[in-house]
Amino acid sequence: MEYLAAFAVGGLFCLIGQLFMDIGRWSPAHIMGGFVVGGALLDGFHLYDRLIDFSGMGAILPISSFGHFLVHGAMAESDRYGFLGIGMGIFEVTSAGVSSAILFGFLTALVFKPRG
Amino acid sequence: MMKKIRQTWVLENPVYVEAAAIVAGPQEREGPVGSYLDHSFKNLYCGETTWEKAERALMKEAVDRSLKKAGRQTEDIDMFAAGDLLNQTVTSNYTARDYPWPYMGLYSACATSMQSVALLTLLVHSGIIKRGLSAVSSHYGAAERQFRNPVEHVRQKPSTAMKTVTGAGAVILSDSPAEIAVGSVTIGKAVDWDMKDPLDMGQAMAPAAYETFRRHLEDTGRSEKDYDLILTGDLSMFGSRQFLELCEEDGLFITDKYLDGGNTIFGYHPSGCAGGSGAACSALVTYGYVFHKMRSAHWKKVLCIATGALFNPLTVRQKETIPCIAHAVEFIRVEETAGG
Amino acid sequence: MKSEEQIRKERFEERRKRMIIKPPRIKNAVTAFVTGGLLAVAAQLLFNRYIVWFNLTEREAVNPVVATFILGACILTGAGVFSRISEKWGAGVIVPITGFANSVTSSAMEARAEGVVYGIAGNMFRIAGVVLVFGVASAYLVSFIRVLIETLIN
Repeated sequence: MEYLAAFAVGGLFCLIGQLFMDIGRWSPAHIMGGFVVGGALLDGFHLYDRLIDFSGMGAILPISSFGHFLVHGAMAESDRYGFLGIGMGIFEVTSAGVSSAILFGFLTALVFKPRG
Repeated sequence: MMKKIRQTWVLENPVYVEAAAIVAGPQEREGPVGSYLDHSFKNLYCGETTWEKAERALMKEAVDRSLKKAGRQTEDIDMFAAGDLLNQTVTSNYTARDYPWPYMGLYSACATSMQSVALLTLLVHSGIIKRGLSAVSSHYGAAERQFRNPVEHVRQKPSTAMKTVTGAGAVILSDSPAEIAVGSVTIGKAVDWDMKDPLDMGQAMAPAAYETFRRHLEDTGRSEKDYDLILTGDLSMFGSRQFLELCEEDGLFITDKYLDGGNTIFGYHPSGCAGGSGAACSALVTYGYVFHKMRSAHWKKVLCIATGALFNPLTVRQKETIPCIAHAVEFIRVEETAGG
Repeated sequence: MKSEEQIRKERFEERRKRMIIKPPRIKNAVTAFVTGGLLAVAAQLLFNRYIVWFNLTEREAVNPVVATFILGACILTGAGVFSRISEKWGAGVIVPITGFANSVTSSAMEARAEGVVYGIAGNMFRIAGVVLVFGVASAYLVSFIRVLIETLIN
């Protein structure tokens, strides 16, 4: 059941992205930016949390979860430090994702040449 | 003397094509032009470490091979005119430093091939130089990086997208008789029909090709029937259709004697793109395929209209329209009886 | 009265619109849905495995899964496979975190000839910077509003 939910939600995110690409002629950069903003906004209304509860990885794997986790980190710190906490905690949850992307990207670039 | 009528120069004593050489990458070898290649590289890197260097290797190879085919030494060349698609035409600049020739770097995007031929024709005809060498090159990886996204970036391109040809062409023009000669040249105007899509350059360039073609016929007083072949540089699938339609609106029916370099280079229905583009596209088809057919007396008079989209990645992002240009050069087969 | 030139341009534009070959929307959408769905299922499987293998809590297991997918996307990009599969799968691989990893890697890889500093490091976020900029800006705004409301209520 949880796999079915993950499949449906994960697929749905990509479907929406594909529609933006085909109909709106968005570039991959626009898609990624748009999804992140969307994720952050949805989290503003606590909707993204419910989506994650429902589908697990289906909602975490799409890039929109990045926006969601940014808000989460910020909110967690601001519970303690108020407005100052936003800046302190914004990367708290996502730091593993960003740092692994930087590290693996860097290592790959050192090793591989573009093929074309 | 040379007759100049508005945009066209009609040559009274022809300028000859002494030799031409073309080299290309692996994908072009598989296409229809493959059998006319003087040399082809097995992969996109052409034995170098970067794509920029690979493009230089292509151009150098083409230059050396054209010299060899003409049986000339380095000292015999009086002028080197070359161009490519990279910033500041670096490929040509860096190739030029390897030779002891006066050098002019040119840029008309994909129309650079005919621009350099036109310039050298003028110089040879006026007697300023005896022999000039023109070279152009383009490289898929280097151009993709220059004009679009990284090559390994995700992509799902629209059907109108064209693929840059990896290759280089060199041609030696001189006043000593040879089989093929330049008959006339029409220098085009920059034409802008408000096209904005950098992934649909073929259609953006079609009006420029058409304007130059019409101008050429008007200036020379000829009709389309005087030519055995009309070749456009790289309009590809959609652009060439537009070009033909524009011509038909003017009563010029040329479908049976029309060829487009972009449609030819990867075959008529290439997968994943609408055809080839790039400075080398018109060069490979003209110097390879067309010259071969002319030498075997298949065609006598060919008008080659190389087309170029004169945009820059910045202007595209600044939402500007794309100005385009087309230069036409008429090549004629010199009959033995004419004495040359 | 329109000039001949204008009529010509209008006809040209008309033909251009007629000639547009629309991307196969339904096929693309279905492909993206299935690909994205399968990736999510794979992630869920991995997630459950990681919990068992490494004795993690649900919260802790998210990061290793994401990192695994990033690593996979980086290697596929380096091997030149990613851009080819993305031609078919489209948003199915762009929307998941793999798309982000691909933008980072492809930009960095392309610039490796310019050296480690100006090339790889300087170009790494050429495209992926969008995610960071928009992510931080929007998250900051959302959090700010939420904190503001919470402060006002208390």
